[in-house]
Amino acid sequence: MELDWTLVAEAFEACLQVPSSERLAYLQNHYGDQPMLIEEVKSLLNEHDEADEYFESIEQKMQEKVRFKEIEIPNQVGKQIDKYHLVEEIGRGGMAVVYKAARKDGTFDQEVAIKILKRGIDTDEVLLRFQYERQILANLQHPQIAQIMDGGVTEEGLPYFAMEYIEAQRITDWVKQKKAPLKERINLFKQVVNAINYAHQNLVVHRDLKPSNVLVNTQGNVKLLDFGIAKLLDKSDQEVLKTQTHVKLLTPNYASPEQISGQNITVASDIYQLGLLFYELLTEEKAFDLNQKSLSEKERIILEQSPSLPSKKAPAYLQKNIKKDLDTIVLTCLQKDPKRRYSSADQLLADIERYEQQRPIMAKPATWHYQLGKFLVRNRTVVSIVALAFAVLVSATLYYIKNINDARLRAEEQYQRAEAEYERAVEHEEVSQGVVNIFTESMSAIGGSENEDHSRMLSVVTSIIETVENEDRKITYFELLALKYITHENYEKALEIFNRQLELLEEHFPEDTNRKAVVQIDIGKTLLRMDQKDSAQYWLYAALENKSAVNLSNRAEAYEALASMYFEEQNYTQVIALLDPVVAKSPAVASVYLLLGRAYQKQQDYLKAEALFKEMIERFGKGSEMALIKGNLYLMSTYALTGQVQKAEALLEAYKNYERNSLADIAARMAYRVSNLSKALQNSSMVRLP
Amino acid sequence: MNTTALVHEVYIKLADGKLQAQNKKHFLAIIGRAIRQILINYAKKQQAAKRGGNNFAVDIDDFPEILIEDPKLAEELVTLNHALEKLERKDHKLGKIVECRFFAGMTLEETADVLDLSVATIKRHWNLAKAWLHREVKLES
Repeated sequence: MELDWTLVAEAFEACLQVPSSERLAYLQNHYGDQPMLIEEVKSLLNEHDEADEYFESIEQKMQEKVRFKEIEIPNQVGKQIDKYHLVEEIGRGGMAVVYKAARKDGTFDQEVAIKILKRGIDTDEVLLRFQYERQILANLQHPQIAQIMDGGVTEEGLPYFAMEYIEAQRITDWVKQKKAPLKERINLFKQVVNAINYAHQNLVVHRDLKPSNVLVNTQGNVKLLDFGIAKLLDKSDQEVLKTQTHVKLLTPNYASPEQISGQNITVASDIYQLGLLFYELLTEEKAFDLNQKSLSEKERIILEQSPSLPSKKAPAYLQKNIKKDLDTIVLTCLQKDPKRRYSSADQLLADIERYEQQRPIMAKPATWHYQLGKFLVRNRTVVSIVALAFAVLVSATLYYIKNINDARLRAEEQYQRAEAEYERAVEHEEVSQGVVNIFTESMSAIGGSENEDHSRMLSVVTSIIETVENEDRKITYFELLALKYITHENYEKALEIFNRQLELLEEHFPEDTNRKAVVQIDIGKTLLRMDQKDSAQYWLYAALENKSAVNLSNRAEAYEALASMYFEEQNYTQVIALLDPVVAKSPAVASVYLLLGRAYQKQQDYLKAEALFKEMIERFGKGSEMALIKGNLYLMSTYALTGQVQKAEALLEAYKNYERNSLADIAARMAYRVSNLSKALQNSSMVRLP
Repeated sequence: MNTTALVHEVYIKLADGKLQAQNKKHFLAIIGRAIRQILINYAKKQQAAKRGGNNFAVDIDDFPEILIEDPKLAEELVTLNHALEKLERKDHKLGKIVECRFFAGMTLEETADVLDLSVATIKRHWNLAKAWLHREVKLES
């Protein structure tokens, strides 16, 4: 009877999880009634170690014994091909062998390079390819492009062509050996760009620019080789070219992101490869370290990683000369998105010239919000953590800078939370170095004055928050974002976000009435700032509607907002009616004491006012400078209004010793006014002592 | 054999101008199969050529020319492939894993990613496949 394979697999895999000494017992325990199955699993377990060895040895053998087979071209040195005498082999590649040869046709001797393709013209494809290469090269006549002169077929039926013989060195070796100064490197690179620009204008894309194809001859001039896989831009040739593209391997280390992801290859790919070359010329290192990396790693690096700044990697003697703009030029060439690179070699050339003339270059360094956007698209899973840290940190910083009184404490709290979250994320390696960079950059961007970057940043943050998958967090982030809009006095936007919060709450947390109330209060307060009292009132009362569903401190907040509105309308009775119970029942915030005290003061109930201000100072003065100053200020005014001049002046004295800062300054100015007022009142003898 | 180079070769061939990024996973999943086919084809051709005494010239369509220098290795690969075909009839998913791990030279993590399974699962299945294949290869030879 055939055993059930699923069971066998299950039992085998389970056995591997237990120590080898216990496996037999495990099998007996679990499959005791199936002796055949036990035998089968035992037999497989016996194979286990040997199987590892077997696979290791066969892999080893494959490493050593499986090779790509090349058609052997026998050494042809000394032979004659048409009018060329082959002198020595100078190169051998995947497709071709290259010989140095002498042309002897009686009149004069000339050195040439003969390139013999390794395969006979046995397929249409190779024939086409050969013809195209010939045609392309023949059409390109430029001092920096190796010139083709002739072509034909060898006796063996192998196609060949004769090119200008160049005694030259790879451009990267050349600059390294010569320890060429920066200016010389830039000049050489400009020659390369010039030649590529010429090719582009002739509708030819090189597609395989790399140091081995860019040489410098003994006169110190650049020569470009091997438009071998060049592609004509002319649409009509597309059909033909499709067939030739998959013969030659692209050099993976120099592939552009679009080559990796199989998109159309255009002029932009050459710009990218020019960037790689420029990078290597400036730093003597490759832009990306792809050594010893697996294919998928290489691809990931090419598609995702940004190279370090050339100025950071260059040898010491070059480093000090590489300015930020040069970094920008190189990195613009190396943008992952072809659309963000220079749109032509001409433009690249123009920017290099601007750089040389110390004029502002056209390329702009990649901005943090662009990078952030890229990151967002790339890596949605990391986004939620980053979004929290980002949104909170940003909002906290803005609060901090703007020094909005009672928001300050909150801001500090948020700041710490953000830092903790961020550190946690970094610890878990959920945030890559790239994000850290974005962070640092964004922070410095915010540090500056307000500009359009702020609003752009806010909209980026909005889109980040929308991608957060945890709805709970999403709502919290939106709250922080809305608060930020409020500090920017962009109340319309803040309201939009509050409404989005309400939507989300309705959808995901319909039971959480307390939270809903918080948002309603936020809306009310924002409307108050916009001076839309009627609507504000509506929202605030809505928040208070279901008393049992809203906690005390949130209710207090709503009452306070309503009370401040009534205060402005000079309806002090209403203020007192709303706030008295708040102070009596709950640990109210300082501002409630202040508002209530002021209402009593207006009602000329100075004793109540004095008591409230004193309590406020006592409760909050130690923790909040603002509470201390304001409390004292109003206490002082109460004394003044009641003719207790000495008490008022004693408080004023205290201010003079107060550390000078903007808040204390304001307080001092107000105190001065109050004291003048109290003197005036005293002189007029209008004040009755209590 | 440099597996990476071979993968790359196949990749470029199939990918040039046609492959969109979102298809890549799918592509990687079939790359193991492609390599297996290429290798085994060559191995079989080499064996056949040997038996026939021909001076063989291996050249299959567009694929790179591969030479298996050790005739015993060619034989071993054909045997292994035969065992793998049997295993696949029992458990298709194990075949996929062998293609990724052995033929395409992917790591456990890469295989897990490509086949949408956990690394732990891949590891367990890979152990089972190896044990089963080894026993079968021993029986056959």
